[in-house]
Amino acid sequence: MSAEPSQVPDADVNVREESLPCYQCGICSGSCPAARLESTFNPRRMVVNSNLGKTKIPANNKSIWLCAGCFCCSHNCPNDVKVAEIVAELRVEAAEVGNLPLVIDEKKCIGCANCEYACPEDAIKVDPGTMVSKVDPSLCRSCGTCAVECPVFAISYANFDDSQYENMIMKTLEGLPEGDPKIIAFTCNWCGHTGAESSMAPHPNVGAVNMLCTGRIDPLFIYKAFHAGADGVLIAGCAPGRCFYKWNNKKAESRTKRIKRNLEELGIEPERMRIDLVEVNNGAVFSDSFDSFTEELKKLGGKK
Amino acid sequence: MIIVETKKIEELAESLAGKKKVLIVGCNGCVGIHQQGGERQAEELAELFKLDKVLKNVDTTVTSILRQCDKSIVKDALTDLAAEADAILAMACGAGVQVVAESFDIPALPAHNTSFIGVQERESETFYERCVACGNCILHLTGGICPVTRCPKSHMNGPCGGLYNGKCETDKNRDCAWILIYNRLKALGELDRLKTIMEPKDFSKKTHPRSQEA
Amino acid sequence: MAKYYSKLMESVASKEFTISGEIDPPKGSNRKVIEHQTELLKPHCVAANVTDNPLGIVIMNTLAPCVIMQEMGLEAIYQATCRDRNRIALQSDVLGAAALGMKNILALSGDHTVMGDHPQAKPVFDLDSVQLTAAIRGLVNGHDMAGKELDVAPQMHIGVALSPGLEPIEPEIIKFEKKIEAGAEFAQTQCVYDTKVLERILDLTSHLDIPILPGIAPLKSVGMAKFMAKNVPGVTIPDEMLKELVESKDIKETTINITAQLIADIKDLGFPGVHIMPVGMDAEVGEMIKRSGVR
Repeated sequence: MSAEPSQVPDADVNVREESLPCYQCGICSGSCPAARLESTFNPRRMVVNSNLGKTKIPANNKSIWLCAGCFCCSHNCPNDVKVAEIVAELRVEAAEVGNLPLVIDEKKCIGCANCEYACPEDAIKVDPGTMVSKVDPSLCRSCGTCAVECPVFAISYANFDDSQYENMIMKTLEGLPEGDPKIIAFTCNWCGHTGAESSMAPHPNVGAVNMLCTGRIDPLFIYKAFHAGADGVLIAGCAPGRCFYKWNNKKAESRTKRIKRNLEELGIEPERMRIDLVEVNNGAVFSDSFDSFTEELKKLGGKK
Repeated sequence: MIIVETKKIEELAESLAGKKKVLIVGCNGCVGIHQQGGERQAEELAELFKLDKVLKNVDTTVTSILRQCDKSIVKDALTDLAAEADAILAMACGAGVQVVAESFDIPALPAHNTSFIGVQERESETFYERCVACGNCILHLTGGICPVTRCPKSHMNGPCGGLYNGKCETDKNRDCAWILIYNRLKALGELDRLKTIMEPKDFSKKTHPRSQEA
Repeated sequence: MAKYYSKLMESVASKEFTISGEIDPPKGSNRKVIEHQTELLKPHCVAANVTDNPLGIVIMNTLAPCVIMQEMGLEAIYQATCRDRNRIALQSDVLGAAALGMKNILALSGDHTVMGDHPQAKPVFDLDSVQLTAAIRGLVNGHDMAGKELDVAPQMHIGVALSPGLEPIEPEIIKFEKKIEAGAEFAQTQCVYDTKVLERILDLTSHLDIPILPGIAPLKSVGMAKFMAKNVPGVTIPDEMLKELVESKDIKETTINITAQLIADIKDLGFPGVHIMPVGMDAEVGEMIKRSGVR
């Protein structure tokens, strides 16, 4: 494989015939970070269906947009089936029937172009004719940063919209035991998740909310988490310069700065919020961070 | 566009003292576009209120409108909501707040300090002042760089002696406007423009409050 | 021969090497400070500047020391800056200063308010130094900025500042040309320690018919030299000069010698005079001039 794991592959190759050698081992699905996030996203099944001639993606199957174009599936396939390329082709077909990765409320959109500036993939742009944002589904990798940047909530995601995440935060908080300080850890699906995952079990007071990318972390999620009873909030993302989505971890960092400033104004210690940007598979770093964060929160005591 | 800065929560709490039902109104005009006072910021502010020990007792309703400097938009969108509130917290520039204030019988309070007319540099996430609305534009003479705004002394005839390594005496990180102008005019082949004495500005055109026919 | 109102301009015109000094008004109302400095400078300088709240630090105003000095027989060069006064105040001050006998005025922009001890103050800058020069020229010619005629016009010579060490220097030269066009008759410069800088400014202003008095302030210590080089725009200190200060066994002696040499160099280069800012070494100004051999 020579494709760079930095963009969604071109769909115009006749990849389907090359998928015939698939013997359904499932390594593609097993290695898929998107499948980890959402079990209905199943590359193996997509290949099988393709081989069976069932290529149409139902208009309501939104999980197809979770593919981030990492090529893990194609890389790992023992039979060189071009799984990622098949998914890309299916996405093109999905887009043709109006199944899109994100929905832009054209009445709300004010054409401010904040989404355009924020998008690491050049996938969303203000249409100069209509002055309304438009997404190019072939480029979008669903990181979610545009929705957070939109000043008027005109962008909503096909997968994991705001209310879904808010529910996840509340459920996660409810699941944390009383006693130790409650920490909500927003983990990105790449370095953050892989690193933090292994450290979760020994830290029952930390509840993870996994997201495709730190760029999707809405300041509102954090305020709501605090309001619902979290003692601390941690963001776990990729190391500086190593974000899967170019600059989203940097964006998360600058948002964190602003959030901390606001917390401080409220008399809430800014130390209750942390961002760890760490190289992939660095469980020990997260384990230490969870420990020290828990200790720090214990010292700070309950929120005033 | 008009650049603003949200007031400290403490100051907002002080101005809202005694108010039980507050209508928080975002402005999706200049301040919305620059992510300083649009619908999202209004929602965020309401969320922050819930985290504040005093303001959490305030009953907030959040809405946002296209722009607050237009009285008909303000009246159409807010009349019903305003009837239910003790006060309106307007997340607009000073002009917007005043339009809201004169539209209803309840107090309209500013959520922001209005900073300046400026632009946003995305890379550094910084806003820069670019125009002081002097009422007498000379950008055609200065290579498109405004000395009235960008020189802290508003000098009209070249750099002062405080020029240091191309920077300003007031701030070592601030470019000297006149060096920018000099470089620009040189590049444009219009350096001769610098050689004409510019007359003192006519500040009678800047007498507040100004008005002009549409 | 043209008629001159002031001794300063007469001295320059007579091709005599002209030395102007500078007086720093006190932070307070102590007129003795002015009298003391005047006593020390009077025998050596044709005239002396009185600064106008440099850096925006509040000290005694400019006009009062000017009057005291002139009462004592030392001609004053009244400095006016645009920082604190609009065009109404500036013009009216000039008229008043003339009525009190001022014959020289130095038109400056002034340091910004944020530099000083009252950074909260509203900076005025209604005019800039070019426009101020033109405004004073107008007054001398008999009318104010609104074109209204004056009953008696002030009789004054207008000086301006020049910063020879600025980089790039071209915009400074262009501005200087505009000041002359606006009516400037003499110039004093920012501190210069480097003869190369002096040579350059001579070269760059050779087409201009205006006496330029290079400014010098004695380098009283290595610390001051380093501070000036680092913080004062356009000031460079030659390595040999710094070395001399560093290796000095008697710093006061060295300072006097360095300053005397500078004065001599300035004369040798062909400047019509020098502007000495004594920065506390008022008592040594005479010795500096003596050792320079310019007189």
